[in-house]
Amino acid sequence: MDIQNVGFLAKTLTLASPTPADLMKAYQSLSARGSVTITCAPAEIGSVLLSAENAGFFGMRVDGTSITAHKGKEGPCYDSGRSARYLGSAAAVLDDDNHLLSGTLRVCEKTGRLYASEAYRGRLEVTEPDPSLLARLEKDPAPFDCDTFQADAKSLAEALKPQAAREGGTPIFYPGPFKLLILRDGTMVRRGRLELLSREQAEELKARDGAWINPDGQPGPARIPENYVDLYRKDGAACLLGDLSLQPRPAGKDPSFDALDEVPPAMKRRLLALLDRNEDYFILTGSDPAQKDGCCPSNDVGIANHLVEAGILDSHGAGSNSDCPVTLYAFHSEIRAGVGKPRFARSDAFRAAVRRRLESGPHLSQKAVLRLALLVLFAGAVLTLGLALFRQLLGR
Amino acid sequence: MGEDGYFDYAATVPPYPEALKRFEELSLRAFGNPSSSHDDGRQAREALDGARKGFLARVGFADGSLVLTSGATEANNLALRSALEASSDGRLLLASDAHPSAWFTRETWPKRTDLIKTGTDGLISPDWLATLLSKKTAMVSIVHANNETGVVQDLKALGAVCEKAGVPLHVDGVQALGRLPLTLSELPFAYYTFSAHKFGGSRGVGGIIARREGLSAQIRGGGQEKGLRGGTENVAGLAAALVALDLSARSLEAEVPRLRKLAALLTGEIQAAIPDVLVNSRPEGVPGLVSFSFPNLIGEEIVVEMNLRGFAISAGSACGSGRMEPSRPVMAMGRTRAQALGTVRISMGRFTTEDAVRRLAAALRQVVEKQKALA
Repeated sequence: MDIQNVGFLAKTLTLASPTPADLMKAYQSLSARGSVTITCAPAEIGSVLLSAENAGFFGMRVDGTSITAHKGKEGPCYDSGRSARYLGSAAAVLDDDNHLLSGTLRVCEKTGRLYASEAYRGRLEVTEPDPSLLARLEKDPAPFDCDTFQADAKSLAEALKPQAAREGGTPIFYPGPFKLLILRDGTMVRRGRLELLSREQAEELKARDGAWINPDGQPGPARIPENYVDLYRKDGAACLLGDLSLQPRPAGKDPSFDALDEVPPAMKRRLLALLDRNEDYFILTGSDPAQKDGCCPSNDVGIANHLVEAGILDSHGAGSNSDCPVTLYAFHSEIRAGVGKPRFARSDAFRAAVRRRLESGPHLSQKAVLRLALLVLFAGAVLTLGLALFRQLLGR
Repeated sequence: MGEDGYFDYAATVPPYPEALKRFEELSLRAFGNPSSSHDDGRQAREALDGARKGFLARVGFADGSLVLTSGATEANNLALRSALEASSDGRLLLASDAHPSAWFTRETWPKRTDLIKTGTDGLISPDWLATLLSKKTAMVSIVHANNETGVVQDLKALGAVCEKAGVPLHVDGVQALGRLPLTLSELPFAYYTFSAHKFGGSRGVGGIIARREGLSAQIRGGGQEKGLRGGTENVAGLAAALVALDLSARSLEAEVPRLRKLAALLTGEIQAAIPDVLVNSRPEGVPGLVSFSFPNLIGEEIVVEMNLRGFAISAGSACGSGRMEPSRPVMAMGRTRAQALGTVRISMGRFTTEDAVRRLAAALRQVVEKQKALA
C-alpha cells in the first residue's frame, strides 16, 4: 500500500491488485473524504469492484487498468434542499449507496456533496443548497429521509416498458461511476462487465455515459444482460443488489411460518416493533443456550436462532469488544453481508407475510392438519372395530 | 470509520505523525543495543538517557526516576506485585474502580486486598481513606482519572493522607497524563504509571514514574532499568512518547476548554432527547470523556449499532461467570445492574469537531430509541 498523505488518516492511497482485506484496511486508513487508486489486471476488475463496494467505497470508475474509488458516504442525512439530475441515456442509475436515480431526485446534503464531487463529474447535475436549510445544518439540521430505495425500485419497475429481446451483438463495457444502469427497456448494464447490447443502445451509452464499445483487453466473453422488470417481478428490489454476496438459506428449504406461532410474546413484540418501525435489524447479546461451551446463554438468542433455522430470520455476527457474542438479526434474505459492514434490502412481501402470521395468531400447519386427519381416521377405525366386536359378543 | 466518527480516544489516541517520525528516525540512527559497549550501543544509551531525562522534565518531575515498561498493564503489575510480594502479610488498599491491570490482585491475593469504595460521584473521600489505613497497609492503589467515567480523584488530598500514614501510594495515571495539565512533582505519590499510546505515542511503551525505591523485578533475565525490568529498552518508543507528550501538553491550554465544551454539548443534547439517561462523568473530569448509562439496554448493542452508523464508541461491560458483567466503576458509583449494563463511553480528542458531536448525538438518540422499542 502506497500512502500518499500521512496524517492521522491518509487522503489518497494507491493499491496494486488488492485483496478484499487490503481494501477494507485501505478504507479504514483513509480520511473521511479520501480516495484510492487501484491498479489491477483486466481479469481482476470485476472482483476488485465488488470488494471496493463491500468495503464501503462509492463512485468507482474504471480507467484502463486502474480504478478510482472514494470514501465519504457514511453519516446521517440532513436536508439542504438539493436535487440531482442524471444526464445520461439510461432510464435510471443505481449508485454505490443504493440511491436509484430516475430523472431528478431530491437528495440529502451528504449525497448532494458526493454527487457534486469529482467522482460523478459530467454525469450528474446537482443544484446548490438552499441557504436557509444550509444555515440550519450546524445547529438545527432538518432530517432527510434517504431511504426511498424500495419505493423508487417499485416505481421504476412499473414505469419501464420491456421490449421483445433485441439482437444484442455489440460488446460494451460500462466503466462507472454508477454501479448499474437500467435502460429504457429494462436492460441492466452493470459496471465493470462486458455485456452485449444492440448497436443502437451501445452507441447511445458510449455517447452519453462514457461506455466503451468493443474494448481491448477486457475479459470476456460478453454476457447477455438481465432485464430489471423480469428480475423485479421475481425478487423485488433486492435484485438490484444481486452482486453482493448473500448468506442464503440452504437450497430447497422454504420459510416455516409455523415457527412464529411458538415464539414467546416478548419476541413477537420485538418482531412487530421491527415491522412497525420499518427497521432493518435487531441486535442480541449472548450465546445460544443449546451451545454447550457458549458464554452468557440467552433465551432470546436461542429463540432468534430457532427462527433462523426456520427461515424466518437471517443472522450476522456483529462482533464486540467483550467476549460475549453480539449478533444481528434481520428478516430472511434481507442481510447483504460482504467484507465490510452488512447492508440490508427489505422484502416487503416477506415482511407482510410475517406480520399477517404474527397478528392472526397460530395457524394449523399442513402437517398438523394431516396428523389430525389421520387421528380422526384411526379413531373411527378403532370405534368401528370396537362396535363390531361388541355386536359379535352380544350375538353370542 | 475516519477521524470524524472516532469517539474512542480513551481506548487509544491516534498517534502523532511527528512521534512516529521520531520513532523511525531514532530506530534507524540509534539502532544499537543500549547495553552494548561499542559506539553503536553507546549512541543508543545516550539517546535513551536523553529521552528519559526529557520525559521526566516534561512531566514536571526532573528529580524522579522512570522505569520503562511495555505499557501500563505491566507497570501496574510491577508496582502492585512489588508491594504484595515484599512481605507475607502486607495488605493492599485498592480503589473499587481500578482497571483490570490492578484488579487482578483481588483474585491473586483475595485475603490481602481490601477495597476503597468510591462515592456515588465516583470520588474517594480522603477521610474515608484515612479510616481504612492500618499498620499492615503495604500500599494504596488508586486511579487518577477513571478510564470509564473520566472521574478525576483529588490526588493531592488522597496523597497527603497516605503520606501522613507513611504508606506508599500507587497511582494509575493512564487516562490523566497528557490529558490533564499536570506537574507531577507537586503530587504526593510513590509510583505513577502511564501508557504512551493514550497520549499519541506508540503502543508498547509505558512506565512507572517513581518517587521512592521499593520496586522488585517481575521480568528477570537482564540488568536493564537498574535491574527492575529485564529486556532491551525501547529507546525509539520512549523518544516518540516524549514527542507525543510534548505535543499533547502544549495543546492542553486550548484543548481542555474545547473538549469540555464539546462534552457539555453532547451531554446536554442527550439529556434533552433521552430524559432517563444517567450521566456518570463529571464536567471537571477528563476533558471530552462522557459516560452515559441507558437503563435496561445493553451497552455492547449500542456500540454495534453506532459502529454500523459510522461512529466508534465503547462499552464497559464484559463477559464473566456465564453472564454479561456490567461496568465495575459504574457499579461502584451505586448504579444498579440494569443501569450499568447499558453504559457506553464516548471520548473525544484532537480531531473531534462540533459537527461530528452533533451527528453523534443524533445517531445515539436514534439508536437508543430503536433499542428501547425493540427491547
